[in-house]
Amino acid sequence: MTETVSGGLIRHGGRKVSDYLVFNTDHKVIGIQYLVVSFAFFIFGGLLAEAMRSHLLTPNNPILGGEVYNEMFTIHGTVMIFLWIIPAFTGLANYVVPLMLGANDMAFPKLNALSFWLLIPGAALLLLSFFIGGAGSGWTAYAPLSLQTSNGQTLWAISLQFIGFSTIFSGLNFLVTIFNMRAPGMTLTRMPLMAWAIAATSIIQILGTPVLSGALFMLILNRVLGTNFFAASAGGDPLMWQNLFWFYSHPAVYIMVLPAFGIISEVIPVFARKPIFGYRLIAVSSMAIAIAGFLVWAHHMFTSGMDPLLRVPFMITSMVIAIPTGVKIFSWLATIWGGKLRFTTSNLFALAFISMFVIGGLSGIFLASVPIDIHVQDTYFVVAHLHYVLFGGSVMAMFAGLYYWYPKITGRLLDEGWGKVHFWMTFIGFNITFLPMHVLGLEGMPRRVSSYAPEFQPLNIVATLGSFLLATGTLPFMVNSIVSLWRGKVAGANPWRALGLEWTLPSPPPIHNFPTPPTVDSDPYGYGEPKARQRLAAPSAPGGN
Amino acid sequence: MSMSQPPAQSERDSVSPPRVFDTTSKLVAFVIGVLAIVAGVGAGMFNPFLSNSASSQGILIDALFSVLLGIATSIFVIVQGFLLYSIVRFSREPDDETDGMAFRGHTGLEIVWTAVPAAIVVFLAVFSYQVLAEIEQPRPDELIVEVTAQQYAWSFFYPDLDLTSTELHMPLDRQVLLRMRSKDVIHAFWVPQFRIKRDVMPDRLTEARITGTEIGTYPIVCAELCGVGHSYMRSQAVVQSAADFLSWQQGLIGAKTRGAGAKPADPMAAGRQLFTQGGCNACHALADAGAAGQLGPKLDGIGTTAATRVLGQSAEAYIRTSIVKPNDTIVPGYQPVMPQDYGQRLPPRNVDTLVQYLLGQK
Amino acid sequence: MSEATPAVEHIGSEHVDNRKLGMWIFLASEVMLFSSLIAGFINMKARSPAGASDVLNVPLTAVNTFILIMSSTTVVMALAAIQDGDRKRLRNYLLATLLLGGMFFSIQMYEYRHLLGEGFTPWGSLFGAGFYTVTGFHGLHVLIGLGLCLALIVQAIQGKITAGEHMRVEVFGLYWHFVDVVWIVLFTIIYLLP
Repeated sequence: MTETVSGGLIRHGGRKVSDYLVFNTDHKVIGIQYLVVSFAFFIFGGLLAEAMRSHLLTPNNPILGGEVYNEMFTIHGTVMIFLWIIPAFTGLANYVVPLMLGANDMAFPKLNALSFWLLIPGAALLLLSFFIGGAGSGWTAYAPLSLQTSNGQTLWAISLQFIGFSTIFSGLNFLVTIFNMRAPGMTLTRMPLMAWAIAATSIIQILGTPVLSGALFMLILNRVLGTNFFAASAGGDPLMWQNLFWFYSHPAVYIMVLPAFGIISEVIPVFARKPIFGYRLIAVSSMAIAIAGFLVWAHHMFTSGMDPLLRVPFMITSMVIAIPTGVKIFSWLATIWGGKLRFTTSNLFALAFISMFVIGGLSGIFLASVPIDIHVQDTYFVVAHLHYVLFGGSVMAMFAGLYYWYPKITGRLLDEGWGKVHFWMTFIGFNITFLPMHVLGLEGMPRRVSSYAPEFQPLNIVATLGSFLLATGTLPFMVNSIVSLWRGKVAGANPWRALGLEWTLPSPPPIHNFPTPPTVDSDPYGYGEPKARQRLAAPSAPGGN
Repeated sequence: MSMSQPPAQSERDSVSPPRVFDTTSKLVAFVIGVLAIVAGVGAGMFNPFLSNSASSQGILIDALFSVLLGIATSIFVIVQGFLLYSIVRFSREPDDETDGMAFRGHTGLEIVWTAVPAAIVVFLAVFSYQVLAEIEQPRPDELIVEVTAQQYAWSFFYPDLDLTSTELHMPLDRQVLLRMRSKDVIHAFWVPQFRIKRDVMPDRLTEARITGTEIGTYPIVCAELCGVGHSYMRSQAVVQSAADFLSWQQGLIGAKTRGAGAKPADPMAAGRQLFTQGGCNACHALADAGAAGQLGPKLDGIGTTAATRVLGQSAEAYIRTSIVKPNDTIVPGYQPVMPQDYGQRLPPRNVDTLVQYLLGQK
Repeated sequence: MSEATPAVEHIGSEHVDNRKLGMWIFLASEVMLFSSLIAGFINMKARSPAGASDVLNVPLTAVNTFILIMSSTTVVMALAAIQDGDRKRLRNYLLATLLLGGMFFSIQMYEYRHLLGEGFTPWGSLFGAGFYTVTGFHGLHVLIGLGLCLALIVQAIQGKITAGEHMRVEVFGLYWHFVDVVWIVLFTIIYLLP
């Protein structure tokens, strides 16, 4: 039973703090473990970014030497991808998806816990590789440079194997859970779109990650045993590394963004008080993106000297994949249109997502066009694009989801005032940081450089100042998320008056979730419809806008 | 996909009247559409990005970019426009706890916003393909330049002229065919003003074609992470009139054949020129040569300090060894990344000139 | 309480047991892993001189392939046995699988030693790099399978596998058949194709 204490940590059942520090198979505990650990790495990766941005205030700064700078952006990228955004979404999904499906846990609870705990040696090895030095070939680790670098590179590769296995098992778990463990009456077309998004993500994790794993094994063996897969000097094939790497790493970006799409599809209807527009097309487009995502990888290699003819089909597939993405954007706009918008912090982040992700998506079209890519590949234009989709997109959506589900997880609401401070500092700081980078790339600044031509200094200063605002903006969130555990307004079961199954449970939910399996007769988006009106008849709990 | 049943009359009364399709909304949608077109055309025509290109390839790429910029601006205005309008107009009235209209879909709209992007994609793919074919079109009478990239310097060999240079010189309006290879890791040749970039691989030849259309000097930048000296791996592309190109050639031939002849008229000037042309300035700082490289030790005053570096080694011997066998002594705090083959690449006369020049830096 | 109660399984219309579905999905990921390694092998072979594979012993490996296929048959027999409730035949067929699988593994080890003795090493040639990597990973999967088989034999002897609850045998069978199929593909690509 939920103990509601007016001024203290709200606990359910007999959960102790120590439950969160050990191997525990409850998906809710695992979800929180993932979220806390991944957020710590968000901070770590962010500090690396701030160090680099500070260094880049002047064009010929001697402070960070070439080798250290190379290792910093390598670890920044690797950490943000593999130890922040992917596990953070995994954690959030771990917590909420079984609840949204009406299930009492994931299909394989022990495997679920193993997936989390595999991150720990992976993270330890990655940090070790940073401190002993040598992983300085970018998160993309192109050979032969990644064969030349010192021992940290091997540790980097091994760490990714641990993290890779973690995501493969996690994807497997979600797919079986989503297929087999939905509540009675929840057909696939009544399933929350978050579940569709996670199913699509899981397919990519299962089919894509092993290819990276194979490539990493070949890299490790090349370095350690002398099997010359990629060593050009011995007749090996550097381009093969790129092909194998990108075969995973392009679909991987959809692993990083599909859960974001899922979150937005959940949050927008609630705060617009309207059903999601075009449910089926959104569900289908998630699957389409997952599949089509495997057909575009060589657009990262347009300037690599790959077969010139093959660039054309990849250009076409890379442009075509914009279509299902555009469908989602328009559907969300149509959901908002005519609604009754409540500007909670969660909703602000969701609306900002739409705004920022469109920019990132549009810059992606430029990159898909081969002649334009020939100019902007490997420049700050790419850095701008990737941060607009990954930060302006995924991270904003992550915050939307965190503000939305925090009350369910903890029983209390995050403070809305500080939430808005967090939002505005993040939104403004983010744009000041990354908008200029489009211009820097177009005008001639390559990426992964610790020194640059003096004419690029003004825009670099602007970007750095923006990054200081962005970084500082994270502090209100960190403080808010801890203080609100004790002092946030009590949320009750359904502070947002939302229709999902998770909101029928107390906040936080009992350890075993649903005492009796719920039955479902519609999707959770029927705002404005008679059935929904009945279900939400009780007046809303205080909180929100 | 069909529209859901609208709520029954009695229930509809308890929901606020739908504002979705009223006149104001339609007008706003129209205005946003017009704004999108105007902004798009404006952005395409007055594209403020991309400084003037200096190659025939660049002209075509910039045109494609402008068109795409126009289209992207239109889409941007549409999305942000509807978003902002919705935020302003469809904000919840305070104390209104009712839901909005249960509007779940509209097949016509979904078809439109799938088909229109698809059509745009087809157009862009075709246009891009045409530009791609055009910019990579071989021309008769191409000047072949063999480019060698290594950690961390560029070298250009003209097989038809039997000349090597550390800079890329190109006659105006004549297409150059770059045949490129790396000695170690992957690099990438990029001249932003030409808009042309191509990776340089260690296990195969890669090619790029450039026709310089504006006389000038443009930076060559390495655009693929290649190690600690990646940021400093630079050179210059010089587009010259045919006459100037010829005199440059003759200057190189002169330098080559000067061989065991008379000393250069002004050894300091010759040394300074070699220092810059040879790319030493990419990694070393030397005020006398206007060099600010950071990768290697500063060379100001090297004429004096050289004698103190290695016990028993004269200043001259130290400087000479540092050029042709750089890894014999690594100055503490620096990496062993200097190319090892200057002894083979530079004519002996040039090494002598450089040594004398550096000895003169007291 | 430190353990959640077992997840409730809801019966859908086309419901595949969680563990069986899980194994199919896992095998899909394994297909991708081997695809990656096989691509590496094919590329290395393409960059090798003709006759690079002459050093391999095709007849012996063909016999070994047959042995592995037999071990897949014994797994099928084991599953059929326990479906009939015959625990003794289950145990015997699992033992036969272990034996045949063990023979396959040993012959592979013998072949490796012989090749290494001939100077055919992973670092000595591109073909060697590809060969040892892809067959090595397969061997690792065989070893894991043998371990699982042994565990099943122990459980069979202890009476933990019954006519009513034998999903683990079926799931193991899926894994073992996969290992077999991968070997057939490898044998074809490495030993049979020119």
